[in-house]
Amino acid sequence: MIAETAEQILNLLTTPLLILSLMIVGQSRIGASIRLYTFQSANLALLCFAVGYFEQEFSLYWVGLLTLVIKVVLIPTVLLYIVNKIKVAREVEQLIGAPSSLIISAALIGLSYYTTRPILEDLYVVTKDCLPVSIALVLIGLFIMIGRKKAVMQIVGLLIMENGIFLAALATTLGMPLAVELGIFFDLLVGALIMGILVYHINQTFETIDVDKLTRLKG
Amino acid sequence: MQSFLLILPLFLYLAGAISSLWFSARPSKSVRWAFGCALGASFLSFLTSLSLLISGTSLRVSFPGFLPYTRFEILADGLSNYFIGIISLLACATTLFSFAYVREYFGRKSVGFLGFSYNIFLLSMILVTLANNALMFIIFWELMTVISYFLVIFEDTQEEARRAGFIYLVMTHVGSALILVTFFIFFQFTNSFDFDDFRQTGPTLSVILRSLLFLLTFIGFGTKAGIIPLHVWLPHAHPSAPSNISALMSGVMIKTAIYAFIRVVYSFLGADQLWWGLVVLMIGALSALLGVMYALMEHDLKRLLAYHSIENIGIISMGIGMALIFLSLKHYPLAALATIAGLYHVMNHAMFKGLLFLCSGSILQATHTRNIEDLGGLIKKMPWTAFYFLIGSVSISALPPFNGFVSEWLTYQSLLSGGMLSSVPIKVIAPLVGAILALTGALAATCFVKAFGITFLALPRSEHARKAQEAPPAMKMGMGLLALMCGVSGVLPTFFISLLDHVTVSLLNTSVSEKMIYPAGLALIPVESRFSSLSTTTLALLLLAFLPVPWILIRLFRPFRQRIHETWNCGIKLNPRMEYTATAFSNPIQMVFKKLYQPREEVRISYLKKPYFLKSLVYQSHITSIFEERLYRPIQQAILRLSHRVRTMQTGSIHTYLAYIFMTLILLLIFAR
Repeated sequence: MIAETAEQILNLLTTPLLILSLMIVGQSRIGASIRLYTFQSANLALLCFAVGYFEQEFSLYWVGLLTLVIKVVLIPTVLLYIVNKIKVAREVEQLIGAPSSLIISAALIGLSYYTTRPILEDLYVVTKDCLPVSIALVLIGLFIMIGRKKAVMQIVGLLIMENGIFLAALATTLGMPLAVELGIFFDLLVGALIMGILVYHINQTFETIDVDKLTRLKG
Repeated sequence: MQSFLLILPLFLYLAGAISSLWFSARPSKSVRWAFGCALGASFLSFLTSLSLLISGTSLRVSFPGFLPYTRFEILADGLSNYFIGIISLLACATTLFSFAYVREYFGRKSVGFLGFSYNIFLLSMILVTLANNALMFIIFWELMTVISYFLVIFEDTQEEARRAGFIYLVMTHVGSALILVTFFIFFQFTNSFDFDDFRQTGPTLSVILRSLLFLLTFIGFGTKAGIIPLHVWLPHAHPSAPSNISALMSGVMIKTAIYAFIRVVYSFLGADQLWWGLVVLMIGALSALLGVMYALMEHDLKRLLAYHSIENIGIISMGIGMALIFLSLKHYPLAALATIAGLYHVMNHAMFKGLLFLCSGSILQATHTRNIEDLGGLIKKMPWTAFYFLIGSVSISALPPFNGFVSEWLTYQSLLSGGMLSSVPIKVIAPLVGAILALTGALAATCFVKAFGITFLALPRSEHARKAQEAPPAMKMGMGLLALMCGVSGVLPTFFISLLDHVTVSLLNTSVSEKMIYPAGLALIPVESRFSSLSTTTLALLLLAFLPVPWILIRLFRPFRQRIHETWNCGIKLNPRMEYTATAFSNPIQMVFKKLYQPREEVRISYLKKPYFLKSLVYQSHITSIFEERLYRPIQQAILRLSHRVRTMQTGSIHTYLAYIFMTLILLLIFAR
């Protein structure tokens, strides 16, 4: 009875992750996309706390706390700061239009449910329903990186992918050891900082962060 | 104690490398530290290896737990000691030379880096010969390749040097790949990278597998050694490096490939196939002949020497090839003789080629040109360099009593002994190869008549040559040491052969020194039959004894009155333009071997009044290097075409690359379901 309730509560917390990533796909402003990512990370932290509570995993509280600090506060602040600093046009500029992007994303979600079904049959964890969502997040993140022109959106796509991978770890093994988790967080923070600085410098050098125009680097 | 003396030089090299970098802001201090350490290290390791070789002991030092998953062990047996002795001896000379030579680069290039690379280069070569584990061997082998690459492109502002470095890197990596494959195949059957296990399991493998391994080894190490047709990097890389490095690269680096080839084929593969020896012999003959033929057409002093390295590697391969043939026929004394011939030539070539490269460095420093057509008359400006160059030339042309003669004589001995075997193809081929060796020797002598004559005799042909100055004392000392060694190893072959006997004992369990050395004196006698014997010692004494004879004759009889005058010149003032040029000197040979060289000649004449009064005449002649144009050019073009095909995939757009990843990911997800 309690396990069933726990599963339902976790499902309730998982669904917004998908909805938020779809909203990012449909969003046409960079700033709003970053804010949506903030919500998604906050949602993830909440999920972390919930799993920690139901499974009596104390270390997950720490992980959730770190998620809050790094993914909800630090990274979005840095990204928003850079967006304001380089004063790019606020439009996302899509290579693939919003309606078709949404349809493709829906297909990707379907694909991830389709591919994870054989795994789910052998998986007995309370969080097992998170797995298809996590795969969907990874695919949608990658898709955002492909379909958007601005370099900042590539970073957002990568961050969504990372959220997906984090969720996958949570879904299959109830989170990795704290030491590994700490390493990943540090990695992510430094990665986001460096990418931010790079975007800033790309803008300084080429007066654009439109990735489409950076095609002459090949030999 | 001995193992300590074996290890100590390695740390000295390391200390030299680090201190050289440390002081790189102050070039003279950096030079003192780098080459001081290198000199101490090479002298010490020379003494150690010599004493080990004389006592005939082999030394094994293990460092357990030095690296995970593999055992780091060094083994100094007869063969390793012999090669370390050669490397260290040459290193002593080049290091002495370097003290003064690197002043050339002060303020222009980082001397600290040069000293660093120099020490690491020597260290890696010694470790290659010591390693007793395939992984260690590969690591040091690659270290040697990479560090010598940096030395080849040391003059990195020159387009030519960068190109040479690229060719060198590509060719040697092809070789390294094949060597890696060889060792991995061994690993498949032994489950270990230890050379000791290779030695045990290797000879028990099937004949087909061993033949495959032999071919891989021959091509892999042959690329480094520079046998034809894998030689293309050599004439580019050797001239580009600083001359002290060229001496080391040509003198000993390419010999480490010979070392490794002997080690693998003799010990791991149990040489018992006749055709292996035949392949090595034929390729050796081809390399010797073509190497010297291309050298003849070369007017760049260092490129000329580089082509001679190919020739000499060919001569060494002839000895090794004959040894493999004798081994497969179980003729152990003759196999030992042929091995000694090859290994003796390894040392002799290191000495005289090192000497010649150092001399070319001395010339380069004095005149800043490598083109011998711009030189001339240097014997008056640089008498010592000229004298040393002459000794080197006489040695490389295999004239008695210098060292080149002795080892080529031994090679003849082993080739002609092949004629007495029962196998018919060997009966025919071995003496034929002997004839090729004779032709090679004659052409080499021609080439060095040209190199010495055009560079040092007559009048200077350019302003550079006119302003040349003799080399500083340190450089003279380096060259002098090698010239001395050329003489010593020529005049006292019995001592070196008794040393080499320890090598053949450790390699083949066969001692032939008693059969080869005439009991009562300093003479060599044939191993099996008695068709000729040789004593260069007596020869040298006789030459010395006859030296004053012409002088005494002139003094005694004085058939004419002595007058000192200018050269008679038909009343015209003599000028350098009347001299015989290198092109003219080598032209008859170019005409004779037209089929090989395929020269493209161009003559442009403009007249003041036809047909007798010329305004100007331009003659240009280029030879086609068939291997580069017929063999490597098509390969290169095929690779480029393929790359262009692949290039259409590379749009340069980040989105496309991401899409590739995306597609792969989705396909994998669907397939892996």
